Amino acid sequence: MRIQTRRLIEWVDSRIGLTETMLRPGPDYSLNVFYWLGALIVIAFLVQGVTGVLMLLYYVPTVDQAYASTQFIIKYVPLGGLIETIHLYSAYAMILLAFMHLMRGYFVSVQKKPREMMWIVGMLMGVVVLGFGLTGYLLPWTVISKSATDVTIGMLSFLPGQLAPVLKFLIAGPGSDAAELSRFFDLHIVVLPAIFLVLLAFKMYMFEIHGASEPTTGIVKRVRAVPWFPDILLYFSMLSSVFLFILLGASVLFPLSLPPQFTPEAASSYVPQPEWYFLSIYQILKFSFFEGPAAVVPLVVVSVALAVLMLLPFIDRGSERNPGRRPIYTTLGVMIVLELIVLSAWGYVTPGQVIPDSQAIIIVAGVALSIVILSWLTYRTRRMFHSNHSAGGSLVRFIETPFRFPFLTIIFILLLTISSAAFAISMNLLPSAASNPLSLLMSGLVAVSSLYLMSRIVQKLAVRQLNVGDSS
Amino acid sequence: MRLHEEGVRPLIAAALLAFMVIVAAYLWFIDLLTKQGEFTIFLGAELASFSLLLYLSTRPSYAEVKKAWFLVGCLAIAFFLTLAILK
Repeated sequence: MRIQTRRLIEWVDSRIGLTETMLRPGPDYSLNVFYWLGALIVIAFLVQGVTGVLMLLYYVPTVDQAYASTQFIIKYVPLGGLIETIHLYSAYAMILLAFMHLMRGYFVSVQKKPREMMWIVGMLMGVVVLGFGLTGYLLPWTVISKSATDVTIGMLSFLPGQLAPVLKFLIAGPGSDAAELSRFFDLHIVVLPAIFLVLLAFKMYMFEIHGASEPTTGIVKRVRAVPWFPDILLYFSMLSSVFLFILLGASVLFPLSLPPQFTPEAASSYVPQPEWYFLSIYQILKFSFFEGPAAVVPLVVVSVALAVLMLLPFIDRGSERNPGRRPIYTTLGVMIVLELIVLSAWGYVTPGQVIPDSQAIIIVAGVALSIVILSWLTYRTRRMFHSNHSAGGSLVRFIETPFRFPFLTIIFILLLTISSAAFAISMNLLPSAASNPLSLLMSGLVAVSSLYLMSRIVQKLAVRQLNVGDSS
Repeated sequence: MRLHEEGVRPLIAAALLAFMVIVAAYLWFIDLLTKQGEFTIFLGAELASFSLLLYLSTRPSYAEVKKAWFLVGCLAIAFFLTLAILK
């Protein structure tokens, strides 16, 4: 039986040739989760497809029935609530994974020769993924989703010339709610999936030609070829099941509860905000110096930035891929990530508020400046470490100490927090010391004993580091 | 009993498989309309067990099984079972 099975597999494989192409052995360094972020995006897309098809059996894309049919799915369809929740969270996962995949590729310079076209196709796929998020979010027709989509579509109005009305007509139709919902539905279930699949096929074809990118650090002397079956298949299955498990965990802990249906009356009392993946752009539009006609400036800047990112293979022409030896690009990348996170969080906590100029400058420039300074210090320290300069050596040992002894560092930080709090309480109690002597004594004792313990830890760390320095 | 000892891996794998079979049987007969939450929780436990089983299978020897990841997998299963009991 086993011989017959093996013969059958060999017959099929000799006709299709999978073990020579898609299922050929891979390099052992590719058994790393960062090499599989793209595959996880495809898994998320498949989950979206399956849950989307199940919901299509009941969903009605009209203004009157959209909300009611969504509610019907959640309340009366077996596992309907779970399907809706998983569809939402896998959409979020798809966008987050696409961003991680992009930034991982950026930092290890996968866009360099010969993978330039893969980078461009990948960027286009990222735009399509954002399009999925935009179009799908409107479909339940809740007050939050409709208001958020109106805000996002409204941002198009700031584009120059005839671009705004043309884009708005293509995406949202002639202007009625029914046309908008119908177009978003068509885009979400037909147009965008078709574009995504074509781009995916093209990217997979190029991946078959070029293979996985090599690691950037060190020279890969002997690459061990790992067979697809069972090694790579088991590894991929493990990652996929962990991903699905995390999706289910999120669905259990944070099940979807449908907000109220959209009506103009309900929308008037609600402060609209776009979804989290558009919050950063929306936050920039809320800066007071971009009010009115000046709102076109940030949109143009963001569009140019996206275009620059897409054309990065033709801008960064050097052959160096190690992020440790590309300080400018690495610093820019870290800056992009942190600014996006800070702007999104800031946008979430300031819904509908116009941001004063001074605040905008302090926060945006402050984050950028901090990254530049930290990056300069890091790269300078690395250079000193590698040149074995004695002053650099002691600086390196000083910076390395907290990371070499993490347990002691954590205790030190805890003691610092306790002593700071106790010291602050003592200072507050001082004016009325006579009325509260016991509390003052207790907080003073806590502050002093914490300071003593901290000094002992610093002494221990210094001795350990000296011993480490001597032995090296 | 330590992870790297002979015979421990088949024992753990068998235990995980048995757990998965029992949960799958329970999920087959559960009422999907009234017990959606329970279904989700047990499906999560099933996936966590499957992930742990696959992780053990990807390690060529038990010496390569990292205790931290093994513990994370067990905690994930325990987390879902605790949720199931509490609900």
